[in-house]
Amino acid sequence: MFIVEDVTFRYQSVVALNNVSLEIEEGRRIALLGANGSGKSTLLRMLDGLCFPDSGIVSFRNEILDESHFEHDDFALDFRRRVGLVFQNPDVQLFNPTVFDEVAFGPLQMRWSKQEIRERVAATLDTLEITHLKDRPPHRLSGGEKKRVAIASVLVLDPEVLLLDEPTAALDPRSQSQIIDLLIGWGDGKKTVITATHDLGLVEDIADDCFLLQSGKLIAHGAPAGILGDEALLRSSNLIHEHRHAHPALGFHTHPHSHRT
Amino acid sequence: MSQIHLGKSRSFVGRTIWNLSRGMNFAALAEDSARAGGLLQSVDPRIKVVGTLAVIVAVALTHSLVAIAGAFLVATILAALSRISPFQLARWVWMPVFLFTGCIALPAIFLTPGDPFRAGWPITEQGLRTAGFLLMRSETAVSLSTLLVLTTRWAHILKALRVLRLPVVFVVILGMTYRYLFVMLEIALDMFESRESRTVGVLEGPDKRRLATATVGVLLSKSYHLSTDVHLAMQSRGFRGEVYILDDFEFRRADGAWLFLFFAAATAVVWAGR
Repeated sequence: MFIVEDVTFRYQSVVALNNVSLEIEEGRRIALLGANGSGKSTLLRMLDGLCFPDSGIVSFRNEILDESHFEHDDFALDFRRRVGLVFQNPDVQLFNPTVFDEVAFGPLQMRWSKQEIRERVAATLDTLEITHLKDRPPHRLSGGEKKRVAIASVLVLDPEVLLLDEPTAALDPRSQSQIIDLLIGWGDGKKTVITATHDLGLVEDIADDCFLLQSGKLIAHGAPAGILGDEALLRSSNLIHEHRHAHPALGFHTHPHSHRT
Repeated sequence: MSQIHLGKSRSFVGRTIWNLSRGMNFAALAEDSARAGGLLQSVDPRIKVVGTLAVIVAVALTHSLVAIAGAFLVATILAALSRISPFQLARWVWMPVFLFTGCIALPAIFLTPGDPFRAGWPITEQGLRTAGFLLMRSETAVSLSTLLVLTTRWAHILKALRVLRLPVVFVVILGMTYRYLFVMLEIALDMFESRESRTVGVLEGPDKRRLATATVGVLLSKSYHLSTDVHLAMQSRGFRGEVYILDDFEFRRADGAWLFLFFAAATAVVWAGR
């Protein structure tokens, strides 16, 4: 479905992706793992056609994703309907006056009929159990509610691929669990979901395959059990560290520790 | 949730942010008031926008102080029927407008040429009349505008502006500006509070100015990055430069009656001062 070949991308002098190659098959659930600044978000944006490689190729269903393709309305709108990105910061994604308008934004861009838009928006709000928020302005939502609205604003288009950037970041445990349940159940588990995260506790629930990035380079690929079981690899990529704490009976001891956002 | 509370600070930046946060809290109150069940809350927002504008124009045009006072009285009654207490209006509108417009109108009482109000008084009848017009027009116009804001959700006001043939792009930019004011204000408040928590003693003037400048610079930089990300988020959901909005208003018979009443009131106000 997605093929990334020898991709390099720089933000001015900083190399965000360095010669990255990977392939993502349809219907797979993928986790992009890596510490902050490893290039996960940049790769997601590239897969969503929001930025383009300095060198190398990114393609979706054998169509190369470059600026010239996105100049054509037909290609751009078709791609935007098929591939949806949920940003890490929901405030970035909630720019409309109300939740209903927010969820309706995508369908309006697709020029769907007003009747269809109303029906699809109502159904999506219902699925995410946020119908009661539909008239609320975004600044009057909690963090968890904002995230659900941001996800609804993408799911309303019923995309084939869902890209998620740190979907549980800065959420309380209950909101995290709700979001994870939603992602596991979405599309009956048959759609492609690509999640960028450094929350190792999520990975086995949301992924069949993992790609591990470090300083813009792809350093490992494999099943969650293999990646999560390689302590040296996780430590070298800054996803776990030595944690020292006190036990009442044993005194101080250290053990490898990963962070749940 | 953005219910912002901040102690009143004596520094310039602190005062500015405190005032902004008060404005944001007012916006939250306005949203709650617009959701409350009341007389004007049930009227089509388009009718309210057009009707309010018509009465404000009539108040500006009329030469009858009694007619303006009548419009003011009607606005107060409508507010009460829309569950907005006169005390709230007095605190939010009447007193600030009285003080602000009063300062502007005060010299007119003494400087406008004409007959003395009482023998030996430095106040002229014409001056009093001019000041009265200025004050009453301002009070009535601001009361009507506030009534519109307090009985209509912001999102509906924005969409209703389309009735006045404002371009969609203007309406959308206005909505986004309002939306991101809250985001930037929260960032500013966080920055301000974190700096306050790390500041010991009183800062000298140059230090205060340097900090204020640095805060403005950081906010500008953050707003630039935020705007870039917002644009990407819009693109990601299919935005191609054309703006579309979903207009879901429904015109009912009662709205027709309200439209008639608004225009009848506006005509009466102008006619009374002919």
